[in-house]
Amino acid sequence: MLDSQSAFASVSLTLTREIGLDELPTGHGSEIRAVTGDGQVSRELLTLGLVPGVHVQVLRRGIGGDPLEIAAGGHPLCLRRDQTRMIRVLAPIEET
Amino acid sequence: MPRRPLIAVLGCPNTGKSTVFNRLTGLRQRTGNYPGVTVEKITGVARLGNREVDLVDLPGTYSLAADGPESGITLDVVLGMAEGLPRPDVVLLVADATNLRRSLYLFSQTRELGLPVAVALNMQDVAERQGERLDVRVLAQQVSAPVAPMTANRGKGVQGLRSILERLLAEEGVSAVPVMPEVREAAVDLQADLVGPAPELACVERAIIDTGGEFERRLVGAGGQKARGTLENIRRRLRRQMGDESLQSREARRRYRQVDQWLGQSGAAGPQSFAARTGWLERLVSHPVSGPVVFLAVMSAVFQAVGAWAAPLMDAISTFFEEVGAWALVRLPDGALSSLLIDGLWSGVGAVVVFVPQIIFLFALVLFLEDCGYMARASFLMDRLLRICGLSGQSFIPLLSGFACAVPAIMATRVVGDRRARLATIVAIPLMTCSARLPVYALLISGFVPPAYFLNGWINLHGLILLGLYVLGIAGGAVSAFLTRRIALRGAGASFFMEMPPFRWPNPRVLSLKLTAKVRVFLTRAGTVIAAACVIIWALGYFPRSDVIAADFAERRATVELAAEGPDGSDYRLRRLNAEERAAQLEFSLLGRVGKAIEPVFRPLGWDWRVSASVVAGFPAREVVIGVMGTVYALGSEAEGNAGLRERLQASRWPDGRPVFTLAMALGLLVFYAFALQCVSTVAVIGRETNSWRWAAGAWVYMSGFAWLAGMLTYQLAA
Repeated sequence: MLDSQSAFASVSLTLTREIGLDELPTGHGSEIRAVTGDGQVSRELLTLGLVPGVHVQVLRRGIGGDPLEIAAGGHPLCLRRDQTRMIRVLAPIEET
Repeated sequence: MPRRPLIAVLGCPNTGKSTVFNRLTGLRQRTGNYPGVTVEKITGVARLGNREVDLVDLPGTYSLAADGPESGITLDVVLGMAEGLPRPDVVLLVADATNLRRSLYLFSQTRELGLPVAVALNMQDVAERQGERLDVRVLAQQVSAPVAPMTANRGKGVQGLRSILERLLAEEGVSAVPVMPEVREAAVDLQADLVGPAPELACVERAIIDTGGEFERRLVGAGGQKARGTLENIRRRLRRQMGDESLQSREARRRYRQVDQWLGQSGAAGPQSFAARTGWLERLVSHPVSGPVVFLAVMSAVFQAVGAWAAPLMDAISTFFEEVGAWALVRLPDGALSSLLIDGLWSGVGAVVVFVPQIIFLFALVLFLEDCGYMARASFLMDRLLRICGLSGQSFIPLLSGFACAVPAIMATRVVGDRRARLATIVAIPLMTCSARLPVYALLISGFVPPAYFLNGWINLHGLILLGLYVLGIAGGAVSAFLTRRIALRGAGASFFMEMPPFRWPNPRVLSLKLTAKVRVFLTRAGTVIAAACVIIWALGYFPRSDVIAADFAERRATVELAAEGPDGSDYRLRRLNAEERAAQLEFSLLGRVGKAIEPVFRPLGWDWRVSASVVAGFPAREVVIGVMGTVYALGSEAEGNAGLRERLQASRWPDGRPVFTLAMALGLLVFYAFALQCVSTVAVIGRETNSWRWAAGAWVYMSGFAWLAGMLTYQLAA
């Protein structure tokens, strides 16, 4: 009983772990949990449809991982790594 | 008489907003500027039924939120706060049917302002081809606004839009229920609290939501520290209510939920999923090793092709202009008028036309690569590198265009989203080796650099120096951009947004339209100025004239004619005398005097008054220098061409007998040309595009000073 409870707790912990979008491997997708910051840069990201709850994918990376091409809400977009870092997504389960 | 109604045309970038605007207004347009900001104000008159209405085209934007005075213009105009424009009667929102979510986000903000809003659903044909099955009538019901499906670039649906606008003009606007009622409530209270003239409610709302935005700045600017305190209290309270989510995040979430509901009800296809970029072509161009290799290969192919195709045409054009000029000179009566026609106007036109082939070829290739999708990949690849000098991936296409002509290139910097990066790009572009530098390079390199070959003749020293000058220009541009960002435009570049189109074959018709537009920009913006500069420089080099010199040469001509042995011999000597007279008159003219007066300035670069005068003549348009050198060095008008000029330059001596044109001096002159901003049209377009004469003047002074210094160092070190 105790064991299964702790196992459940660790799974839910994994499910809610947030990482930056820049940490998502190329080709993978996840759900946006939050866009951090409260200024122009995050405002622009939100305006373009990168809002919490939306599914986002990493399509391509530039040399050295910067910039990134991502797709959210049905449209691809290129962003720099600094910008994608502000987009917090759910860590994929395989990551555990 | 009642004033004409006003319709504000609003929309996201790349929705074809200007095309819709053009369709409605036709040619009845005026461009100006909003006071104090670098935003072009485009207004026009449209005929709707039997009445005329004014239209104003707003800059493309994704949101009414503003981060600076430039983006604040949108809300200013829509609310009737912009100088010289009344409150609009109707807002026309141009939406991209292939990317409707983002357009409807802007619509969701606009419909809360209390104005009647019409939606032009543009690019409908592309959306249909992509399989979009959205029901326009249901969408119109959902958003409670008329929706006009259209394909503006083919003129389809324009009539429907006209009748919708005509009908809306008779209607009163209804504000939609705000998506952020908490913010509306707080804004009403705050508006009542503020002293002085009350700002519009929508501006107060934006001030509350957009931390660090334009409307916050205005509110705090008007209300002082007290207003800032109140604003922060309101934000803190609302944020607590919302479970610690920022207001802008909550706004975006609610609006997109609303938009998705509208789209879902109207039967729009849901957001598609994307495959990672795994096609072989995509992998090839974005691979860390093969990507840069492909990039270098494409770029060298572009420059090789432009060089190989343009050179014979340019030779043919300049020969044609010289031949016709020489032919006309014999037939026209001697005097100021014929000199103006041939040496001023005709050669001025020739100086413009000669660059057209190179500009066509380079722009054709750039546009081809852009339309097939490669340029976006190249910009993606180059972003990291360009960022080091404070530029952005989006600077890449304008910079590359700078190798044809800086004027259309600087106009192309409008695609650079970040303002600071755009200004830095504008400063870097004039240092790219434009087509007008090439004739000067060719003349000086072939005249003063000894021919040498390396590696069994595969590498030629002349080509190597030309390549070096290209590299020098690029390095100069990089340094200039870097310094500009470090000194004048400090601060991190904020945003980089770029959409990457799929690889596809370009449409030849669209390509040729774009190419025509670029060439037209060169001919009208740069060409007219170059031709005018040629005429002005001609006048400076022609007047005043000395009667003493004229009389002296008339006497010498008479002597030659008297002593004529055969027709051929005297003919040649007469022509020589004519050329020498022109050179002597030029020395007497204003230009010659300026050259002599300014000679001490250029002494450290090893220039005598003749070179100084030619370079001064080149300040309005650098290519003029060759024509002036031709006259200064008494080149006959009988199309002796570059070879003749080269010989005369080599024979040129200081009073003490040393040659003026040494290798060191020629190298210094080349370096000077690589850096100097000798082009009035470029200075003018910098002023226009930055909306600031200080930027234009600053760029000119900086580049001229830098060119002098670099030329001087090269000469002194090489000598």
